[in-house]
Amino acid sequence: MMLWKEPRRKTSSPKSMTADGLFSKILENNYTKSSALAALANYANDVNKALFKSKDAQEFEGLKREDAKKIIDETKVKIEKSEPLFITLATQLPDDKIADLGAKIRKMYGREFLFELSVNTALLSGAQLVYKGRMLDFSLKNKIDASRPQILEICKKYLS
Amino acid sequence: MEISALILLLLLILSFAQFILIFVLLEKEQKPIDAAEKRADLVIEETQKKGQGIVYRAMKKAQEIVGEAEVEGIKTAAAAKLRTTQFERDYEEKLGAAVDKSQREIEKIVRDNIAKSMSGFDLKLAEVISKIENERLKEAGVKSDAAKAEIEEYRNTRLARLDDQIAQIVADTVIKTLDKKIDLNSQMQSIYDALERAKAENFVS
Repeated sequence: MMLWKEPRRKTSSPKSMTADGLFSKILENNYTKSSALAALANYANDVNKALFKSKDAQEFEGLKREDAKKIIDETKVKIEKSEPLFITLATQLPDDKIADLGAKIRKMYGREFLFELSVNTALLSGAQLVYKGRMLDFSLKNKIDASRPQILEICKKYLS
Repeated sequence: MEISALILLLLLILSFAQFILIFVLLEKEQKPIDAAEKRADLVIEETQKKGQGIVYRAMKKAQEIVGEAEVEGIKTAAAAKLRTTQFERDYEEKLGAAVDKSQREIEKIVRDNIAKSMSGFDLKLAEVISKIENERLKEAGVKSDAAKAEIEEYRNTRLARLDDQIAQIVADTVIKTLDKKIDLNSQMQSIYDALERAKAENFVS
């Protein structure tokens, strides 16, 4: 899974980075809350290397030395406060498919929307969704369970 | 002959002479004693004869008296025995009658009491038996109900477990069948469908 993609460096002097700006930037290529936090941690590491290990560097990608820590901390809080959609899938998705899924979800719910993925092969297909304490089960397993009386009826007819 | 022998001989002669003298003297005195003894013997003999006669008569009289007494005693005893026997017979008859009467009365009383007691006992016994029977029936009913409930519960549990097993078998079969057949694109499509349905239900707002 792609956690952090090196942003393209602009030749012109960038605007001053804010917490909202950094939040949008982190979420640009990260669709899950955990990957966003990991990307922010990598970014903070890069900032640390660029700004605090060299006396001359005063700015890194529009992030000023004096504001860096504060903005990174605020961004982290923002990510942590966000309410993700928990999606349980029947199979593990490759990164490109996660990106496709992320694009689809953000098209539906906004470009800063986060989700969390987990896998339960018992679901067979489809997905279980949990958001703010509510759950919807659109898995094949759920369909089979719902059809259980009919399936059992057929089995009993066959057995009798 | 020596003098000592002579003296001894003289002494012997003298002793013999003394002996003879004593004998003569004694013979003279013995004669009047014998006569008196003879008279005394006669008196004694007469007295004895008279005494024997008196004793004989007395004995005879005593025997007569004893005989009479015995006869009288036997008569009295016989009469007494006769009276006693009669009395005993009477007493026995009266006693027998009394005993019979008492026995009959006692038997009647006992019979009446037993009959009364038995009728009461029968009633009580019937009540007790009925009560016990009802209790047993009730108990058996409760037990039967409990057993039925237990059997029903067991049956339902077993059926539910069986249903679970059947469902599990079906699910396992579906998993084994579909796992290889559901490709990634189909999986993605099913996920998108799920998301669309969630959106339609305003799940995320």
